[in-house]
Amino acid sequence: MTPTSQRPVRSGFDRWGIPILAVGSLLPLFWCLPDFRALFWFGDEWDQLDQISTHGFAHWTLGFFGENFAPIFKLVWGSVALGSGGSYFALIVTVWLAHAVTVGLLGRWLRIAGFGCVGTAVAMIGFGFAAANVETLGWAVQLITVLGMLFFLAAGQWQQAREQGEGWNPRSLLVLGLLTALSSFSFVRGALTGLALTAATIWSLWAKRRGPGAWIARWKVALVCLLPGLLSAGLIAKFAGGNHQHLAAAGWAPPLEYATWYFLLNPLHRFLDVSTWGPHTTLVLGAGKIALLYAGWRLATPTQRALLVPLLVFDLGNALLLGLGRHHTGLLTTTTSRYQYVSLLATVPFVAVLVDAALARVGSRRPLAALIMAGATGGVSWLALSPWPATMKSWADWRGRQGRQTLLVELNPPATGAVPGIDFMPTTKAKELIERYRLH
Amino acid sequence: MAMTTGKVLQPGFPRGWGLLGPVLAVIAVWLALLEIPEAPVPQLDASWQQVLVHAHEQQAAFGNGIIFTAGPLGFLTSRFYLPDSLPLKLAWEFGGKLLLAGVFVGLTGFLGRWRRVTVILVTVVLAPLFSDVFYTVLLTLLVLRWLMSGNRTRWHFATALVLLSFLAQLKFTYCLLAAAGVGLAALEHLRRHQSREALVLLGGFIGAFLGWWLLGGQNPIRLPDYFRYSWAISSGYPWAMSFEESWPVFFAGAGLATLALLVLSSMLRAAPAPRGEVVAPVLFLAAVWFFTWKHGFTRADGHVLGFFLFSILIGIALADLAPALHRRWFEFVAPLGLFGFWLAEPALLRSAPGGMVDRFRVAGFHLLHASAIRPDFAANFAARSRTHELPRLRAAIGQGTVDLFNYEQGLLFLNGLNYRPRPIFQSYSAYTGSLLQKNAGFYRRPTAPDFAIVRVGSIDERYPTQDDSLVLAELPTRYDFMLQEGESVLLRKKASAPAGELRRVAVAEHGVALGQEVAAPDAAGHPLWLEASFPLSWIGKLRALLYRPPQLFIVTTDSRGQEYRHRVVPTIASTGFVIQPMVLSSEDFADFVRGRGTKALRSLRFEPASAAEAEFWAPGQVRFSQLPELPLAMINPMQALVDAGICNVAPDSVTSDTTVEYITLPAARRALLVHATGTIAFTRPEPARRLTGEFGLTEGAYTGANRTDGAEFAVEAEDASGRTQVLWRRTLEPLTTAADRGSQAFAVELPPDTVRVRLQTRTGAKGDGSWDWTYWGAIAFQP
Repeated sequence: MTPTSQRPVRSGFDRWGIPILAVGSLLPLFWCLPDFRALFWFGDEWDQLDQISTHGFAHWTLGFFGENFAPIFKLVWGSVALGSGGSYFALIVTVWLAHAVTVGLLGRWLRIAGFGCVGTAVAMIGFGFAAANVETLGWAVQLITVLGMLFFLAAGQWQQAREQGEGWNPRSLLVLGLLTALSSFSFVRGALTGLALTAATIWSLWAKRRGPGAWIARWKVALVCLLPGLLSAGLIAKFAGGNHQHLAAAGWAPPLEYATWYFLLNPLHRFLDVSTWGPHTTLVLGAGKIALLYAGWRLATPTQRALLVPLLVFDLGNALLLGLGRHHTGLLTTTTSRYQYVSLLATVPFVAVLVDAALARVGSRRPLAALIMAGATGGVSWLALSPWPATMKSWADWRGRQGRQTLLVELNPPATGAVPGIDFMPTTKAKELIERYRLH
Repeated sequence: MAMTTGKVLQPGFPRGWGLLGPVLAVIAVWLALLEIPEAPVPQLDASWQQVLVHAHEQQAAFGNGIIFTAGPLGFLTSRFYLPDSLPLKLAWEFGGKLLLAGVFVGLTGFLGRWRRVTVILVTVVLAPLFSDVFYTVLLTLLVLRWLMSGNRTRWHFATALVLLSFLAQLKFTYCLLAAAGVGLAALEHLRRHQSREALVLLGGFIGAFLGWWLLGGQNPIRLPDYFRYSWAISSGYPWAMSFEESWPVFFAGAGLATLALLVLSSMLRAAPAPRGEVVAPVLFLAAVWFFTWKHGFTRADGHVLGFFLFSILIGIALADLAPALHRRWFEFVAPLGLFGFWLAEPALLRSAPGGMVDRFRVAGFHLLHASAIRPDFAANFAARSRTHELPRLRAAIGQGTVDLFNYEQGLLFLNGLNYRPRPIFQSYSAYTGSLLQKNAGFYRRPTAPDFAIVRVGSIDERYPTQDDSLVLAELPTRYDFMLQEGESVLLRKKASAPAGELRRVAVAEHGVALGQEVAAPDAAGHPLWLEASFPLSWIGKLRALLYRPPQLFIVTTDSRGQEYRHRVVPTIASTGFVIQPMVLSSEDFADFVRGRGTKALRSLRFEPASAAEAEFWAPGQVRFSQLPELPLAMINPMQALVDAGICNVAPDSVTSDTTVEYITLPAARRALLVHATGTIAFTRPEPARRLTGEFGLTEGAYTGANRTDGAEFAVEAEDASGRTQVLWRRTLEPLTTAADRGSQAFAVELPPDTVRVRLQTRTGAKGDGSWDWTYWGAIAFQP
């Protein structure tokens, strides 16, 4: 048990700043409220509704969603979809609330790991406010990703707090296992949660040069982290469809290529709104990202590295799994907007390290410190927030207004190809679902 | 220099050598650099060297009368010379270079024994392979050791200023580097609150620069123009002159550049306090190294050797130049440079030691027989004049002033013509808007030359009418076609010509993406002028800054559907060039001057060098304009063959698997090379009963390393029912049969029912088409 005198002191930033920034991450929702209200059911969502109506809610919850086994997500998503009386906006609000919690958890974890207030704020703003996340936050089915990362962050900050503080007991292990399981069963790539947290544990032991006794004691932690992910991965590998079933035929090269491009290009390509795309752009942005990661790692303290390790492992694992599952869609899709959420989350803490290191270097030189603070927070805020209006306008036209016009307003829409994002669903089917669940 | 303080060196040469060591070193370096001047030849590089000598003889004003990458004293480094300047050149070779060799050896005195020996050995063996390196290294050491170093004497200081300002007159880029070195040294003095020393430094350099400028026969009033246009020609160089290297050479160069960056940053970090003293030398070394990288890898043919060689020499010197460095991995600079050199030119590297021995032998021979240099030069000059004589042109031009487009000015010197060059005297160098305007302005004045010789062609597969685009477009309004001799079109100045620019009337403008086909608009009987601008994307700009700009290509399609792919220089394309008629040969240009064309443009598109390079470009804009002051009548391209005297009836078609082009036979007879397998098809003109002509394989097909196995020539007749018979056939094997060499004659009687006649060329018995450079000429249908 850590003596009271050695516990980190909660500052005003911890008490107020983090919650304010977490709530503040809802700013784009209010800023572009008309566009968010215009959004409508799209693509996979129609398919999920169809499955609910065909198989029943309970059966659907425990079924596979593409290559995902995500009963937690289905429970939440389905409950809100049906419980709100078919309101799509209610789902959007759910996504944003989950996102705000995720942002708050990120901030909390960063503070537990010893990040400074300014670095934490920069990371929370860069991740939480970014218009690059438009697809994750503007398509309700992406609640799957938000939930997965929410529980991952909860597990991560729980783990680091225990390892820096009171240590492990059965209750804390149970909580860790529960959070890891929630992540693994919310999102296919949530299976990486266990792996990432196990890596964090191993790294901590190695970095602190602990003896064999400490390693043995930690096996429980590793087991608790890994089991849910292994179970989820096993179920998916065995029963779910997807490219992983045809790996032998495809070979490893295309997935690896896709994974490499994804890792190198994101999140800088979207976040900086880079207009070019190709091998040279990938090399330059990739070199920039690797330089950022390297610099952040070199300047980080051991406790900060205990946070960076699981995030980096998650990012790399995410890249590999995306390569496996999405290589057939072409390299151009590596910078799709819905892939930015995880990449941004994994990268912003490295930026936070650099900001904190810069402030530490200037020390008591107030004007310079103020300049760094203003520059970092202002710059990241502008980069993250400024694209929202234009992005959301075109997003809502495509993912909302067109669908509403076709399915809710037009008297005689085409028989096929009219359901937004899901060409094979007959329009009559969509109208049945609208009728049944009072979709709006 | 502060970087070397605190280190106990063992400079000089190995013990026991005494004074002999430095003397031998000076002689070795001098002999390695020694270059006996040669008589002119018409090739590109030789031509600009001769023009520099000519400019010196004519006291041409640099910055106005002549604009090039060289300065007023650049003629001293020319290898190809003119007779009147020979004594000055020999004085430079025997005196000036000896002095420079002595200074160079002296500058290396700070090096440890074996490093000094190695640097001198590498200089002697390798530096002559790329002479720019010697001057760059000399300049670098002058700045670092005799200007910035705390150990310098007044003598060193003064010599450095004099030599730096001298080198600045050889080449504009040396001027920039010297100015950077002097500027940084002055800033260092100011940092130490030594303003008097800074003023002396700056004043001394400027004074010495002006002194050399005046000695070079230049007017100081021209200095602003000199800097302005030299900057234009230097800054435009990467856009116009880029040349790709192989991937291994690129990776070696990029690796070495990265290593250099690490070395320089380590120099700053490793230097003992106060670190401020190290900043100026490190910045200067960074500037020079960056310059050699850009210079080497912009036109990455043999120029890459400059970067690798410079890196080798600096790499060897690094340990003593910056002793605070940890030596382990920085010692890789020199070996990596050597590796890069080997990747780029393995044969040259292998032959370098033998080449050094040859150079010493030749230099020794000339030193012992110095009195024979001038007579030998005169004899070579006379022989080369005979080889490259242009009798018809010479007779027509007489003593009139003449300029030449494109880059073979050596022809003018060898034919004793009265050369009046335009300021950017080789067309491929007029690659920015300001440079194009400068040349155009020259031709708009009454002092424009009486005659102009135009030889259409360019370098690097450029679209020909880009080079000197403004002048070429205006030539038809100022000059008349006189005659064509071989590839040279002679134009004579009109008695009166318009004073201003050619008028342009816009007819179409498009936003356009790379790869997008754009149809040529109808210009209603006038030529079309094309302006195209393709800005770089952010990553294209990054590439241009750190490496070189990407290349751009234009694919033009003529009215027959034939596509042509050429390089386009973006900085020229934004000013514009004639795109219709399509002028791709001297014959096409001769037609253009006479208001007609044989190749009409149907459409065009712009392409990157490869699909992967598309990301370097942002969408562009093209504008087509009509040139209303120039008439244009499109004529049957086959008619051009009649005009050229190749046949007396226009053929229906000319086809070949490989090449169709005009060639010149002895006595300046034009013929048509139709590479086997090829066909010239005619419809028999009604009264014709007989067909005669000449045929053969060009001399180049069977001389030197070229070994044609022979080719078959045949004349076939086709009647109205389509039945074909061979009227005449002959196989030539000039490699083995002497009688088959040179031009041969044929004569066939045409059957009365002949409708079509075909002249066929086919490969020889072995079916190998290599070097089957078959031609036809003087084809005549007779009654």
